[in-house]
Amino acid sequence: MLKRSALESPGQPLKRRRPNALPHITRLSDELLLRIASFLHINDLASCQSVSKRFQRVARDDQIWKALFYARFVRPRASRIPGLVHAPPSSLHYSSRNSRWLQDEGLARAAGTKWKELYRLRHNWNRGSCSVKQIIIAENPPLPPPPIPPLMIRVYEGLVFTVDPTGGLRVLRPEHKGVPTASLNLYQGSLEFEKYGIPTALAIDEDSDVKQAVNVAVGFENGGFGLYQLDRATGSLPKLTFERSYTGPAPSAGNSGSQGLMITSMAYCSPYLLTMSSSQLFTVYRFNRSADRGNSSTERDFNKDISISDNRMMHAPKILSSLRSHTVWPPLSLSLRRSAQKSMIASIVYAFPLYISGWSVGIQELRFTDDADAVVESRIATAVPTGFTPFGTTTSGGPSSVGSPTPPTEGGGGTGIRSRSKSQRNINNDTPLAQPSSISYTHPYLLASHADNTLTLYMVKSNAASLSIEPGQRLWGHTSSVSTAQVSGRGKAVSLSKRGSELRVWELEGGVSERRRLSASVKVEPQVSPQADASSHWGVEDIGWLGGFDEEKVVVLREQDEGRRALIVYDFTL
Amino acid sequence: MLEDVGEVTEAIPIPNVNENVLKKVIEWCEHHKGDPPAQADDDSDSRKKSSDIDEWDQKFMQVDQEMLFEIILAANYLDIKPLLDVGCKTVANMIKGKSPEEIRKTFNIQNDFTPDEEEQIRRENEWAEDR
Repeated sequence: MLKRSALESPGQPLKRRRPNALPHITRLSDELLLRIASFLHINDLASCQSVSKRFQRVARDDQIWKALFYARFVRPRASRIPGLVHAPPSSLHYSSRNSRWLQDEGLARAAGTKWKELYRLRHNWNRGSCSVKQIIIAENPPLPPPPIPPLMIRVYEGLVFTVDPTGGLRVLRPEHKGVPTASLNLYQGSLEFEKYGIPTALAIDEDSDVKQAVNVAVGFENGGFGLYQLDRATGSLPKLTFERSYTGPAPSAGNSGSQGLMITSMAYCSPYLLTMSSSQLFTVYRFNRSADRGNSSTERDFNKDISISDNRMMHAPKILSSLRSHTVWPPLSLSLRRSAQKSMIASIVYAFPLYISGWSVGIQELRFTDDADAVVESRIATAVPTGFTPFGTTTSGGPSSVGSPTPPTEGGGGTGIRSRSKSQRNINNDTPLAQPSSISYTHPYLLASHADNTLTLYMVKSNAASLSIEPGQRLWGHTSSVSTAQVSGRGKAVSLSKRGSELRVWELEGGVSERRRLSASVKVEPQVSPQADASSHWGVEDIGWLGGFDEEKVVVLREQDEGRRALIVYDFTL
Repeated sequence: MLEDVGEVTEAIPIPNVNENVLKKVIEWCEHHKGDPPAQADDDSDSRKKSSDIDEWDQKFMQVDQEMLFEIILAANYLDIKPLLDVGCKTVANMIKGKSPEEIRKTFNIQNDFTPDEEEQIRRENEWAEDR
């Protein structure tokens, strides 16, 4: 080595003549090259990958991309999340307290995480860049009654679930050619179209411990519902198949006459099911696989309607609670989540008018435990500040109890817990809020969209002692009327304008500070390839419905005036 | 490292470092001997910004490439982290903003990709460009 250095040190002119003889940088070990690469930005790393095979290997290294991912996406967010603020950066990787939060990113998959791919995905979400693909699903579809989307869509772990009367329950993998990967005719056995009507609600159990299967619930026009299970067989030939696990009419709640009323909204977290009917009847069911002795008479009635084909079939559910409201207005959002104390929290989020100053939102939470057959706790909160008294306060509290299974401790606003908001920051100080066009709630984020081009974000605080809603924050960004917004548990949100042409992605984690309010979202700009241009041009008569989103894609339903119906898939893996 | 050894009168053999390089390294150590001890944490954010090389170090690193890489190798061998970082940052700065072809020219690296492979890599990394 000494000899070589002595010969070559005079340097420059010699180098010119023998350009390939002196690649000094190649004397560095991979570890040292990685150290150099750790000081580079992503665009330079991209250039390095084209330099040579060795440089490519170094610039693609997972450790580099992991560090970049943490520096750009994890640490800045950590500082915004209460409780993580004081954690030193290095402890972020290991703290068990934050493991759930890290898991949501898929970060817990320590081995086998493709950090560069993960970085790229987040980078694309942040910039709103994605590819777009159109999947035509019906050419001349029948028109449904106006307030319901013509086809219900949910997106879950890369699978797109749809339900409509003609196509039945379907599941698609958008990266495939758009052919349904699995489908099931809804109307079979005792479930007749004449009796049940069209499907009006769709819910996916997102909290299941069974990784092999996805639980799906479908609600119908007559108030009945069906539960289905999608088997995800992994193996050399990944195959998806649907199985029915329950179908039946709505069990009646005492004498309240709930039969025959359309299900407008549902939430499903096995074995619990929440439904909301068009008459604002809110019901909580629990399914048991074993026969339920306490409810045997009703069970026998229902079993006449159920064709038990195999041992997957579940028995008629038990009604745990049933509430009717006269003051809860659509839009509504139902949700079910497991809480820390081995219990299940069912919540309903609703809009209600304040009469003199626009609209506000409220939440009612019901807590259940797996061993009790009734509501353990019920409480209410609204975003209305204390000291503000809307007309008819006594009835603005939320759904009130009907039927017997609910304990007497609950009722209207009287016993509920009022929000303790700081009225100075109250949203009603600027402009009164219009009735929301949609409400989405994934604890702790409550997002309402409005026809006046804005969204409102409320943070819900729910702990053992109290339930409250923080004052709302207006979010600007859209330049036309917003029809739907959805928020995920990590604070990622997607909103769609009424005509479907304007899709925005929001990063709302930990709430939105004044400083970030105007930059919290980015408009999605699909990279249009020449052959796909038809899918990115929205006609003036088109109507868009936001179907849902997951970590990688957003799915929108487009209804065109000539009666064509298509799914538009925005893919952020590009 | 030299401090660790303490007052030893015997010679310490450093087989991988030649005299010129060792002189440079000692010059650097002399200048920085009064510095506060560096943070041990490799991941700390202060380490991340490659542009922040102090003026003296920048001048110090104005050497030909052979010497630059010799210094990096020596700093690594002698375990002088701050000098290693200055060296790596200097190399990183030589890469910044350059096209793949310019990087190859700068370091005399042979392109061992076929044109097809190169095009494919370029497409894979399109997302990371224009920032």
